[in-house]
Amino acid sequence: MNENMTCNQRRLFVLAANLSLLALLMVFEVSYRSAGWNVTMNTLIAANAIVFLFSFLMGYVRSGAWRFSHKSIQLLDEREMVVSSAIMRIAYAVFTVLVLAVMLVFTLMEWQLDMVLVATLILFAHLLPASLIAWKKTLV
Amino acid sequence: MKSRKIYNRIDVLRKEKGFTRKELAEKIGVNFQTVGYLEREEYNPSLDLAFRIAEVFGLSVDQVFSTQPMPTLSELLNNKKEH
Repeated sequence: MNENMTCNQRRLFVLAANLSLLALLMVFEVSYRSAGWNVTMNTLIAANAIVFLFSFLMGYVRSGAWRFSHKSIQLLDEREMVVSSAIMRIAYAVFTVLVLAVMLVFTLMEWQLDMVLVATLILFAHLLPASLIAWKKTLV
Repeated sequence: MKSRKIYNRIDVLRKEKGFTRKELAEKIGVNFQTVGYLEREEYNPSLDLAFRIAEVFGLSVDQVFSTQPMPTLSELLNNKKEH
């Protein structure tokens, strides 16, 4: 973990990354389903993409959380395995509930799943364990 | 199950031997951040790791780890003087 970054700064970047990812998805969905593609939507997409990339670099890459969550199991020592196991357990539960909730909403609303939503969920699945690690400084 | 806190003398012993955290980590086969967690008593090592640490310092496990807070050097010297 990068000791130069405070816990609050890391949490801020994690929040910014996740919120900008959600905002990106919302803008895509609104454009795709009703508003269509116009300058405002394109500007919103570009702004959110910049916020996401910056906060991802700061909160995940610079903090070491991304590297830790994607480290091969052979390279983890016993404490890191305990941490990794606890993180993956929480991430699995959160992600499963989230995906099922999304599927339920889409079924109830009779919407079709689109590629952007699926791609966002794949990215979120990779982000989630790293988000938890970056959020809880004491873990790594 | 919540485990008990295990106290240790790793910090003092490492400094006495003149090892850096990285050097000790290499000797016991963990990442150097884990040495920090062990020294701050924020992580209880497995029995295997406890033996490896004790072996590096040439001591027995009970001389390095305890379930009771470890007496400081001044407390040990005072006790010795009293006896």
